[in-house]
Amino acid sequence: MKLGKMVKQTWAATLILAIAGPGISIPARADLVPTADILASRLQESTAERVSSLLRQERVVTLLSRMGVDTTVAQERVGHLTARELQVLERQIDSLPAGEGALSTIALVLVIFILLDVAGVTDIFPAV
Amino acid sequence: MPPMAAGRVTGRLCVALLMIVLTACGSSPEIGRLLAGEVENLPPAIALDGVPFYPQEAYQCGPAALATVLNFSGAAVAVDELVERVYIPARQGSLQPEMLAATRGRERIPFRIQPSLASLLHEVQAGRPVLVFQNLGLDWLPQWHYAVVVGYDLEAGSLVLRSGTIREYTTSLALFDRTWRRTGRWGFVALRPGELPADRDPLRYLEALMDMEEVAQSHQLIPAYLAAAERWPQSEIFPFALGNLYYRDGQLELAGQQFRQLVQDHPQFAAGHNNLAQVLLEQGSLSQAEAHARQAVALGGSRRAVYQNTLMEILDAADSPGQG
Repeated sequence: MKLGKMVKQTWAATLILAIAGPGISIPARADLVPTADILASRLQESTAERVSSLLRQERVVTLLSRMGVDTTVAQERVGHLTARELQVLERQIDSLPAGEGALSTIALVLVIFILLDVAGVTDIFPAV
Repeated sequence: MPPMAAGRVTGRLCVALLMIVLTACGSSPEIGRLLAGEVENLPPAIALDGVPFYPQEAYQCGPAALATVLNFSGAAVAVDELVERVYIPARQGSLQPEMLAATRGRERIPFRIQPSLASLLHEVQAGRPVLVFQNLGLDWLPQWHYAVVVGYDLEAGSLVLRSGTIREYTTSLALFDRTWRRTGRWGFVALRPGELPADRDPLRYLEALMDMEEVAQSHQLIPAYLAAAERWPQSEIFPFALGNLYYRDGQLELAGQQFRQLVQDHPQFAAGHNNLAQVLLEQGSLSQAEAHARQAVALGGSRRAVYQNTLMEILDAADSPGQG
């Protein structure tokens, strides 16, 4: 009988531990107001969103790899992106403006010739 | 093309070019104010000393611009390392979020300046080069480009940049603003932890710190929060944020110190009382914890439910001294 009671109590304790998690023996940390809460701009971000950052990191790594970035390097790169930046990258990696630099000579020459063709001064491109 | 159609097309082309030129010539009212010396505290001309130059390789203005501001800020880094951090081969260029991330990766806090020329020039005045994002081309034929502003001259109405392969690229304020406007006037400075921006808006700085805190180690943030608390002593947000940072780091004593001072300086700030109560609870000072928790509940506000939770926990702990 005593053994049965002990088993029952142990089982109950284990259940409680399993449900409540490792914080059972110390006060829960959930009641601290995080700094983010006092910024209206961040109020919308839920805990779930912050947690899903890890998954999003992996997805962005995949996207970067497909675009020619070495996978190990990509892993390091995503580590310094905020949750919001990861979101933006994931959605817009194809469309965000990519800073490349001043116009290359070839591109410039091309543009000039296209304009000249349109103006009827030259006839380089049959399609124009 | 038949001759008559060619003539008409040429005519249209000329009109189009004329329109582009005409719209290009107008300059913003802000520039007018700047040139008239109406913006406060701005010296007529500044040329920053010692800003390094990294001529860009093809498509790699991003790494070059980053190397410029980072090395100036004391974070020694080669352009090649930065190419690894921001260049995307398939896009043949670098994206803005990764420019910020790469800055954080070298222990510098990227601070997005406000989208105005005055903000830009104030940073230069403070001795910092500003990394800017421009569209050098047209809206329908963009040429995206990163460059670094290193000086200005209001009398000449000009700006000096490290740009592409040009060490001292001088351009008129009007032309620069036209290219800058097309990116929403995007730009940032790289701050050492503890270095404050020229911008006097504490919330904007806090945003930058919180972004940094998401991805950086605590020791990089502590000097930043301390410096901010010194500059904005009236604000409760920096001691609050620092207390939370210490707490997150497991430094209960230091967190407690921050929150204690905070509730003294800002007794009406409920969240301060709440967080202090939480720390006191974990330190075992139950009666003090209860007092502050009750204070938070009394002050109320949108987070009253959280404060009540804290209070309940404290009362529970008081009822069962063997646990918690």
